[in-house]
Amino acid sequence: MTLTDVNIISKKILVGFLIFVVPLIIIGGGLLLVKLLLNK
Amino acid sequence: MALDKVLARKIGKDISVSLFIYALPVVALFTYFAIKGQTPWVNNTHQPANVDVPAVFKFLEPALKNIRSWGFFVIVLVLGAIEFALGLYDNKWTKSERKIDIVCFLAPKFLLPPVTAFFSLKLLPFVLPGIANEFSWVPFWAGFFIIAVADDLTQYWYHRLHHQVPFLWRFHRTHHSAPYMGMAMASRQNFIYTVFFSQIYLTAALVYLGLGVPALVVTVIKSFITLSAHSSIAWDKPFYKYKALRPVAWVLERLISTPATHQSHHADTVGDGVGNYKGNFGNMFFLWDVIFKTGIITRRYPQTFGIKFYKQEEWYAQFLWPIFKSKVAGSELSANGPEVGDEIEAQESEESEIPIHQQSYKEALA
Repeated sequence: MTLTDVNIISKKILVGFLIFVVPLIIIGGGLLLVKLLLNK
Repeated sequence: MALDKVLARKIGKDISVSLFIYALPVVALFTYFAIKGQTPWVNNTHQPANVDVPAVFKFLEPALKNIRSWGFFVIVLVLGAIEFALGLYDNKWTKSERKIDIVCFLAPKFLLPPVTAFFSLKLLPFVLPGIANEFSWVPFWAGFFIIAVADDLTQYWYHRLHHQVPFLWRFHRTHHSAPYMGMAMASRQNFIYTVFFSQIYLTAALVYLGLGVPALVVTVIKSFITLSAHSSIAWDKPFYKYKALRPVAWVLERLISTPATHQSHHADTVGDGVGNYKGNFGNMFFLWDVIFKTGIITRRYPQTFGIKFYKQEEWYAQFLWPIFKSKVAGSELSANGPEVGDEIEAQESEESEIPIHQQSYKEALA
């Protein structure tokens, strides 16, 4: 495995991480907002 | 090889729309509680989610409850045996293809669980301490839609980007290299593609936050749809054949992946009006392809499958590229191989015509 391969895998992990973390923030943040906005 | 600018803009636009789609089930839940005046998280007044397996599927209950471990394994074996008995693999399931299918099917069963267990049991409690089951008040119906959209839209993007971003293609190539369709195709993947599946970790995080039961139900439904879409058994054919069933077919083929729409994705050509290997990316839902205009629906099945630039690479290169490279000269998986072989072939062979991949981009953008 060369440095180029490590670079490609790193970029791939970054893309995968973004695809994972952005929806998690939207959904998790959204559910927290539901609680906050409706709390009496 | 750089990403086409028009395509990059289209991807950016579709991602923006996706962010809105991810939020939709949460907005629906907010509206529901606001109208009902309910706050189930106060004093934990919610009912714990519990789902019974319908009586007709009771015999499948043990496999369904263990879908993440041995359940999926057993279902694939049974359905694969049916395909084999029906002779659906023809003579294309050669010794080397069998080896790739079996390695890709078995090895992740041993290699993946330690990774996902570490993520769920160690990493999540470390990164998000003290909020396990924070959202256990979410009703089952809402949890179901949240997980279904989150899991499948994330997989749609993961899958689509591996086709449309050139440097990612070779991680996904193994899934397309087989010149046939069948159950084995669902798990025929490069291990690095599988181990970094974003939706696995997203769903695991949502399970950690309290959406475990909806996640299990979605996983079972998704497994069946994905498997049957990869199958060479064309279960959707009667829906196109009988006039009375055609309205059902219209809805079904736009909502979920069917053998016709998904086989089109595995075709080795786009020239016949049936194949669409640079589109039809949906896994459980085909709806994403409808929304983002990346799909075609023809109700027909391709004649040939695979990739034109296939060089029957070794199993270890297909399973573990770029850790292990192919020794086949000129292969995409070899040490100095091209990033996307088909692109080069198309440009070299048809200077005067529009390259095959650009054709499909234009169709997708139309």
